[in-house]
Amino acid sequence: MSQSMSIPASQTRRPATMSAGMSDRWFSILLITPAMVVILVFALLPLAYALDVSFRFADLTRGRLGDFVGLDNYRIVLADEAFWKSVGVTLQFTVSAVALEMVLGIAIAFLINGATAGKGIIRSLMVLPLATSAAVTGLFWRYLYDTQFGLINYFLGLLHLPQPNWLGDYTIALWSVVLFDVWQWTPFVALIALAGLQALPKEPFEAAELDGASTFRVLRTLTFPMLKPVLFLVLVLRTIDSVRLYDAVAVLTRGGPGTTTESMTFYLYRTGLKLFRMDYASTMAVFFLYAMLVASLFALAPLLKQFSTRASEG
Amino acid sequence: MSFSQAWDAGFRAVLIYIGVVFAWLGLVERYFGSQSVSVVVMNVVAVALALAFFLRARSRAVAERARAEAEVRALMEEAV
Amino acid sequence: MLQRPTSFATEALRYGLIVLVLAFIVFPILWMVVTSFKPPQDVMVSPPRFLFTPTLDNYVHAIWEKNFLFYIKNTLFISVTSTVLVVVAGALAAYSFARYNVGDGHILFFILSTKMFPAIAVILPYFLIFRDTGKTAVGRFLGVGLDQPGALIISYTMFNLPFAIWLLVSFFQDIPRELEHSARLDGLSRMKVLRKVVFPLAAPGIAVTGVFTLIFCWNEFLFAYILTRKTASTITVGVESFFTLQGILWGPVAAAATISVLPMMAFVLLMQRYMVRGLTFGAVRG
Repeated sequence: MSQSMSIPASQTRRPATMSAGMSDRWFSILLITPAMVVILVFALLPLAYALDVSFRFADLTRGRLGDFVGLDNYRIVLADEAFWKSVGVTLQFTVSAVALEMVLGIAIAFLINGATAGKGIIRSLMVLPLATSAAVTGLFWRYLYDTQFGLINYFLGLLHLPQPNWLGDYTIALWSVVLFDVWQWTPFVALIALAGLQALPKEPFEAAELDGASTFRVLRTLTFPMLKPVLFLVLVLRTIDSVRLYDAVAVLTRGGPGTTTESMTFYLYRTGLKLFRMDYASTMAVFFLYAMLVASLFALAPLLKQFSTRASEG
Repeated sequence: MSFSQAWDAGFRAVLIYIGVVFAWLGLVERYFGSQSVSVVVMNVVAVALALAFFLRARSRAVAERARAEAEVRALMEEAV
Repeated sequence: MLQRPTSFATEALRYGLIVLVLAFIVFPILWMVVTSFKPPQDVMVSPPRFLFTPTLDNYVHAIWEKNFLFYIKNTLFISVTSTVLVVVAGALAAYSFARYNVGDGHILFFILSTKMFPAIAVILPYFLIFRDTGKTAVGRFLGVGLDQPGALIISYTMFNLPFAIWLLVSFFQDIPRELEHSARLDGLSRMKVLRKVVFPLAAPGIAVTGVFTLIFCWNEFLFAYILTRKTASTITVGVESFFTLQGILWGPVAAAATISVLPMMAFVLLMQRYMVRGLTFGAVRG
């Protein structure tokens, strides 16, 4: 192998043209076929199915799919207050969780970046929550939140602070879910921001130091503008993930108390698989899908394109 | 306009059409007396907006191409 | 970054804050592991007990009474099968995208948009479709139906392929084309070049993608929760079965959670170097 590759290319041009039984074009199409078949069949088929159901009457408690009803399901869902409330919960969760994660994550990245020793072990400990399933650790967080045996309230009690009913109180439950999400995903932001910080070129900062620029000025005019693409990517990835919040709600609160923590995904699940109104649930799925499609087209795709072209040039 | 650009613009136009339909059903339809009239008007508006977007993308692509060609021509003349 | 003269006080403050952050991050996991070794009578007490004689009672309970090994066996089978499918199909496609740029980027972005699908949006059709296929003879034979492993394998393969393709494209882009060119000129067929030159060079990247996929499958909850009841349930659903009429058995829950979380943590620590890259679809190569 390694011997044959050291032969100068000019001497061995002939055999290659002889053995080429297929054009590059067909070969490249052949290579993507298995993956494309899987994606087209198992992504587009269910989508078509959901779209079909969203135009029908489909109450599973009354048997099979029913007749076409035109746009009626869309009208009903758009007029459904519980649906809009779940959208509101999702937005509230997304905005607060993502904002907290970004601010804390970036702060932690700066903190670690300035550390002189032990970066390796700090990073190792930070990635641990990312390896865990929200369904498993989330369940255990219920034990931490427990009003009687929970560790959080025990510590609060030691400090003589109020001990809230984390998951049972109407005004607090959503914030408890946010806190869990912040625990799991702040390391994600910190890790990527840290990678961005460490990849910054040295020269401009040395020049700024020679000029005697203040720390704040360096941050504002150098660090953040250069970090912006990475931070924006993290922001978009986290936002897209948070909007799909399900696992944490399912194990921590099941949408309760009442419906105060019922996210859009959870409401969709309840409508489709607890109340068996597949038609309304499918309609919500179509709305959801549309929103995600628009988001990924206008926010994520240009971002990733920017990164991938830069990488292939560099 | 290349196929690639047409595909991109076409996809976005479809998304615009769907978006208009959703917004119409949620916000505008209640001001119409008859549902069928509303649906007709909705489709007209949605198609018009999607088409306008597509045509604008097309004219932009055409203009860009013309500009690029002019640039190349200028460079060629310079070289001669 | 800048090396400004730092005083001892700022350094102490910095490490103090870091320790605080790490305590917040590590503590829930640590407490979970600690709880799993507590004797049952020390779990449900107020105030919480920090000193106790460690026992394996909770593990025994989780494994014998709750049959937790059964869920682990299911999870292992389903995740490994899906991972193999994802890596094979993904590597072939990613190579094609990286080298031949099939579809001029449009197919690649279509694939990305399927990754953005909220799983919940396709789960209702999956539920309805698998409910039907599970009743047919072929479906039963292949295990494709509700509460059968095939349904989850299909779902996991579908939902991890886009991620795997994107990550693998970034790894293939790192391999210099010259090697392939010279191998081609030596008369190797395209397939041989792939097998003998490209894949060995991309092996670390392929392994990293595989491990990421395995972690995602292992930790997946939504599909497992909705598409399975008993016979094909995975660990994330299995832990839910610790809800009993007497309340949640926190000791065994902690034991089961520890068993299911530790292997994934080991994986993550092994590939720390690639974490950032994997988590950003290969965009940030930190």
